[in-house]
Amino acid sequence: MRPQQLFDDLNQNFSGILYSGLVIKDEIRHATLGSGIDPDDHEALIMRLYFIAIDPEKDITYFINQYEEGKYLYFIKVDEGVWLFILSANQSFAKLHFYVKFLLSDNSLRFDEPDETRSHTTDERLNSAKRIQDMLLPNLDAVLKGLGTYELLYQPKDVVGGDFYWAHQDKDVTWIAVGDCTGHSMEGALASVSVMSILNQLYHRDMKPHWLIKGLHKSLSDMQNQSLTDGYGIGCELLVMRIDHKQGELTYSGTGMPLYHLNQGKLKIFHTKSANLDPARVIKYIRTRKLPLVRKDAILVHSDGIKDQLSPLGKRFSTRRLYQVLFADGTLRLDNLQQELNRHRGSEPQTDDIIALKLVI
Amino acid sequence: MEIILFNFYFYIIEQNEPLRSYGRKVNPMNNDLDQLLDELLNTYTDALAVSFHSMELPITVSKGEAADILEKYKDIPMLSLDETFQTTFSFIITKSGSIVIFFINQLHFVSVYTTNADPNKELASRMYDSFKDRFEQAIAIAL
Repeated sequence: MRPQQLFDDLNQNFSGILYSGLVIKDEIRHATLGSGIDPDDHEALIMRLYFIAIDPEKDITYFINQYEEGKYLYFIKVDEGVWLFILSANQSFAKLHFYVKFLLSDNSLRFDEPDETRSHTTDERLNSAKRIQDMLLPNLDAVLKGLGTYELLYQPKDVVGGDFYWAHQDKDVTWIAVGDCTGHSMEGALASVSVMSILNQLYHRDMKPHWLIKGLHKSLSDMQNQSLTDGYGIGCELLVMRIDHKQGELTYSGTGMPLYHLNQGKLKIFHTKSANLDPARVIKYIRTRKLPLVRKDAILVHSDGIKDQLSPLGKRFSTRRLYQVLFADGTLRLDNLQQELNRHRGSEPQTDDIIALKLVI
Repeated sequence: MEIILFNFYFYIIEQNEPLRSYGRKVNPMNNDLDQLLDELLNTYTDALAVSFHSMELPITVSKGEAADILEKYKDIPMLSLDETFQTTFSFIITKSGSIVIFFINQLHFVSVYTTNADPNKELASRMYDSFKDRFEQAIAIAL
């Protein structure tokens, strides 16, 4: 287990961790700071405790200092010369202690690569994955040339992610899909690349959108039955649109993603059922719906990463706020969304991959 | 000048080398502390030794069959004090048992050695609540 995995795990499972890290060879390393914590206020004490702890005569395995203001500092030996420290505002240190012991009993910390090398290698891998993902992401300028305009907000949580868009143009018919595959980063990218490849194979100009979704889920299900022995496979929520420019008609089908349609100042939101919990049942009854389009109509699709974005206080951006930002002045505005999301997020890391695509026909 | 330095030297020696006693009274002022430590040793479940030492009082009192173990860890309380002197407890778990340290008014330390592999926070809190005021009073008298 890498140190960062340990801290991610701890932070996910315990609230109130203010400052955590390792002391290795007399230096604080891999430190993770909570908001409003100044490491300078605590480092002297941490180092003093570390020097007590490593005294071979004392045989200390762990210790806890409790402070009056409802904080405690937990110190445990994880390896020879390596001590984990956690400054926490949560009083239930017994739970934390047993959880750390449980984590470390099955996984020893690995320091075989220095941080710099590791992040460099990871960056290289992510950039390679990005190159492959970019190859499959369509050029929307080319696809929509002369048929409409678009705005795209595409922001993976990492360099690559599970959100994607897919498009095809065949004479007067445009196919566009926006998808959200399970997982982030490399895992999400692999899933999205697989899904885009399957869509490319299945797509036919004159098919109905729900056939494409059914075909995709059948392919994923077949693929996973063959190779999946444990865990979960590729899950994907997506919305597929077929725009017939000649007929002035949009047909669409989807799972777990809303479709916004702005027609002459009136906004309609069409929700679709999520296929995450019971994909077989949802896919069985999925159908294609039809919307008449007139010139200047706007269409918008987005993934759930926007409404799920957390603020530093743990508050979600929320669907209500999303509607307010998108429909601020009676038009569907995507340009403000990025700014509003950044303001809401503050110092908090991005919660999920984000995609929003707006088309004006 | 030499006399001043000489006196200062002995003052330092006196501060750093307080009177030590293992299981016996050493200072007429620590009667109450002595009794309190006896009581703590008898009340605290699994306690094998207790000790008292202080940053302000030149008194160290240790009691119990494993009193020498506490001597080994006597530097810890002072070193584990945070900069704002807010520390109330330290639980130190060693390969041979646990040491619970109560910080009385931040500058006086009562240590308890038990063979428990994990600290019993509830027991420590109970003991702290029932002895804290009495230790404070005994310290006030000793000062």
